[in-house]
Amino acid sequence: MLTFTLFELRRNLRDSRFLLFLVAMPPLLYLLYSGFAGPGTIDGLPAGESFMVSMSCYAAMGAAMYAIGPPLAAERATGWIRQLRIMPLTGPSWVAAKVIQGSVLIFPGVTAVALTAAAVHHPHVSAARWAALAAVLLAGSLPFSALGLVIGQALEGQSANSATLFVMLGLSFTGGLLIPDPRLPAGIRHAAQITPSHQLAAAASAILGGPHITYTSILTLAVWAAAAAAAALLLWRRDGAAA
Amino acid sequence: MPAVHDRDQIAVSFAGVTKRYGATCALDGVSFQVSQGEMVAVLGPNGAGKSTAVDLMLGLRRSTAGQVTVLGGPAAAAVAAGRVGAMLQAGGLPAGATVAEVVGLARRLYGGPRPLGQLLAMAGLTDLAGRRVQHLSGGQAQRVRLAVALAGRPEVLFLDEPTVGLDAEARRGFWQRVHTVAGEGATVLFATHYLQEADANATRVLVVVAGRLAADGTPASVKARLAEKTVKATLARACPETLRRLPGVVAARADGSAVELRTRDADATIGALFSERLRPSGLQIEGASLEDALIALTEQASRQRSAVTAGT
Repeated sequence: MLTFTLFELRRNLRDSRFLLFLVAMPPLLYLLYSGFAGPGTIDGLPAGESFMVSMSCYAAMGAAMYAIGPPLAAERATGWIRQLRIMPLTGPSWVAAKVIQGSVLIFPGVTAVALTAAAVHHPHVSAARWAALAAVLLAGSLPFSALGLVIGQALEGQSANSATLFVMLGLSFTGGLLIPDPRLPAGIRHAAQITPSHQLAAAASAILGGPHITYTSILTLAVWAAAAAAAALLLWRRDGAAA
Repeated sequence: MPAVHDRDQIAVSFAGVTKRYGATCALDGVSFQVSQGEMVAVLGPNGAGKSTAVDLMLGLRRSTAGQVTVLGGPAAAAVAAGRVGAMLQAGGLPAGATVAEVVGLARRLYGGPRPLGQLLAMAGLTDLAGRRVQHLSGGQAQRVRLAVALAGRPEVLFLDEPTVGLDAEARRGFWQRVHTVAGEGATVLFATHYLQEADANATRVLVVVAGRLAADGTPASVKARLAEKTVKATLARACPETLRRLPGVVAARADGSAVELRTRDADATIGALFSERLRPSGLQIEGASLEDALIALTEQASRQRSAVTAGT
């Protein structure tokens, strides 16, 4: 499995256009949507840190989904995935390898966000907290990586791109990343509690503003990751040679 | 019919295999056994079920009825155990990776029975090792796919239309490599439209037409089944209608005064050409080619199908 992860990452790193996309996309999307809604502020944090939390969550989510979903749909179309399926690579190995790959690929985007935030807002964050934030984002991006995998397995070409954007925006919205939490209608605010984006934002802001990451956050993210991974595995195993 | 073989020596077997997609029946009660070490060509017109059969042999699809066995167990198990290699039709390669990386990945996934250098050399890729796969020509990409198929030292090798788009020299090189591998004991099954290739390389031919196994035997026996010959002649007057009524004639084609007759009884036909005073000259008799055999089997199958439809 590790062999496969490294193989995928090595060729990702050679694709400069892809990396540029991963770096530039989160801030761009954020700027686009914060244009009409105003940057989401997380309760209890000063504006600078709040901005950084939202944006880095956005970066982690977006990078993980976009790094895995659309490329997979494209590779299925070329027939490479079919070739892979007849090699001794088990379904679970493949799912695990891809999910890890997606998580690793959040680093370019998150780093770009952190540097931007540091430059613009000068947040007071110790090195230890930076590290903790990075760890939380890494672990918390696993469900999004898995969601990207499901989209890439289930849809073709352009539909995969559109679906990724749609899901991204939907989750960003419910995560309070686009419109601040208090301004969301009550019904949506309650439903949003169980979305992974919401809990990722909550975990990230807990790192910066305390008090601590809740079990709810951990559980929600874990369940989403497991469910999406299971769905991806099911799609891999389905009776169909189209992939 | 092929003789019954010792169970341990059977590489691939289909027993009453049927595969349906909704209302369409892609394969209908297909049965055959391929022994280890055989080189088998799977022929048939488009849509006949060849690709479905290959998918079943690779464990990519499951049969609706009947059993597909590869190396003594389910196809998927043989694939998971790394005992099977395959070159797929329109199989893509992962952009951004180098040739050495792709072949190396395959090799490591299979447990590395052969050194990477040897694999690259076997497929003629040593000079291309550092090239990115998106910068390869069609023939070079084909060789990468062959190296990937051979990476695990497979006991069974499936090739689905492996030489499409290759020039004559590339094709020759390809078959040389395949014969080397077959010489090491691998069982090879290949689907192809290039009937001369099947004739030249296969020890056995399976003809699939409209989801059924229409023929199973050596290339020579399949051709001989037809017992048809082609009679070519130049006639003073050539009217296709008259020609078709000659004894033994199955099909007639006239190009000006040059005629080509496919006949079940060459002697009777030629006798009739003379007795009917058609004054034939430049007579040539040819045995049926694999292509003729295939066309005839296809026609036969569609005749049978219409007979069944008409009867109901």
